[in-house]
Amino acid sequence: MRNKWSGLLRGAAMALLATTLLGTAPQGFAQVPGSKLKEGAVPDMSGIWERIEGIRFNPAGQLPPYNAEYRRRYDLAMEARQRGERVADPTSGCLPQGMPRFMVASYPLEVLQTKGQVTIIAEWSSQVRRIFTDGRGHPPADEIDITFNGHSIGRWEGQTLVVETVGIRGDTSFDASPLTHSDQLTVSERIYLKDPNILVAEITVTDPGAFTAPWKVVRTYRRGGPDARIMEYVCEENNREIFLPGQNQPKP
Amino acid sequence: MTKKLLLSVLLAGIAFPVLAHHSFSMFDDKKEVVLKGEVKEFQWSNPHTWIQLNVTDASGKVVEWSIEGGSPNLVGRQGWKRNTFKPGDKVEITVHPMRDGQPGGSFMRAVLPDGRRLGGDQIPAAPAAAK
Repeated sequence: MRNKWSGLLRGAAMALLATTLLGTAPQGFAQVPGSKLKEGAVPDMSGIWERIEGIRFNPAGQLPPYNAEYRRRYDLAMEARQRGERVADPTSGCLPQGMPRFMVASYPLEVLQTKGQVTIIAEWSSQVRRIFTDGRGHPPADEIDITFNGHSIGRWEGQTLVVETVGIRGDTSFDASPLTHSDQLTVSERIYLKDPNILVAEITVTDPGAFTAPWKVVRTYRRGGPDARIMEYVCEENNREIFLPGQNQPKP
Repeated sequence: MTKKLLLSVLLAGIAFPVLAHHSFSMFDDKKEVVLKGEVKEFQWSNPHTWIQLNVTDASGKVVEWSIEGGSPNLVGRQGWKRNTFKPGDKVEITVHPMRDGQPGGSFMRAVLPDGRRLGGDQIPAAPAAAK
């Protein structure tokens, strides 16, 4: 009872505060400056999206166009797995999936569009990608922070969001398989609505260190229904599978 | 009905290793062990749920098994709840056991105290009385 009333009082106090700050009675979040795009300016991809395909990065199944060295690494790791050795998936120790695995959407993605930025939140470990659409470029190559999700800039080409991502760490994954890549990996995406309820990401992965040609993968996502929600996922909560990157890798 | 059950069992075997965030190679996916015991604890947690199950062996000794299940984000969307397993529940759980002989395994399917069967991605709706 006490909780109920204190909740009501807090709600009333917050409404009053919001009214004071905005000068008018709040009628929803649309009035918060900068939080809403001009209607119809660009397609609205906001919402919760669930992957349609499985959790292998390439739904079509083929391996990337590996050079000899990276193909050998992959084959060794697969043989080790076949022998029952534990070949670590980097996420086993709760490191983020990073790019490009982020876009597999193991668990749903949530897209938020605000002025100058498209934000994608992945439920898996609450990862966040910020795609800057304010016209900025990438930081200089020798200064850029090397991160799990990289540095993403986007621009609208008609109805398509074109995204370039650089500055990705060399140890991010594609999926739970032993596919690896070098630190020269970059990702280009063309993201568009096929219809109001289907989002498409055409993902082209380029890696001169590991691939002989760009690798194009197409993934699709279904708009979440009325009950769709993003759940919490804290991998460190109760992980009994602690192993660090580099451990449990197949012996060369 | 039998077909449906078989399918759910098959799906159970496939769904967990594929969706897990780590390799399940420590479990022997060619072996099945049926455990009858009493739930000590159900950890509704990420990256995996865990059922701690006390199983009394033939000599009367109680052995605590650790049974790894899917993430709440996975099984929660298939109808599991935080209270699907409660301490004290007498249940039957089938697992793929650990290869190294430790008392642990990956969850395949279960029979709950009220007779409901849980198999991977399928759980029948709870009877009204259980709510």
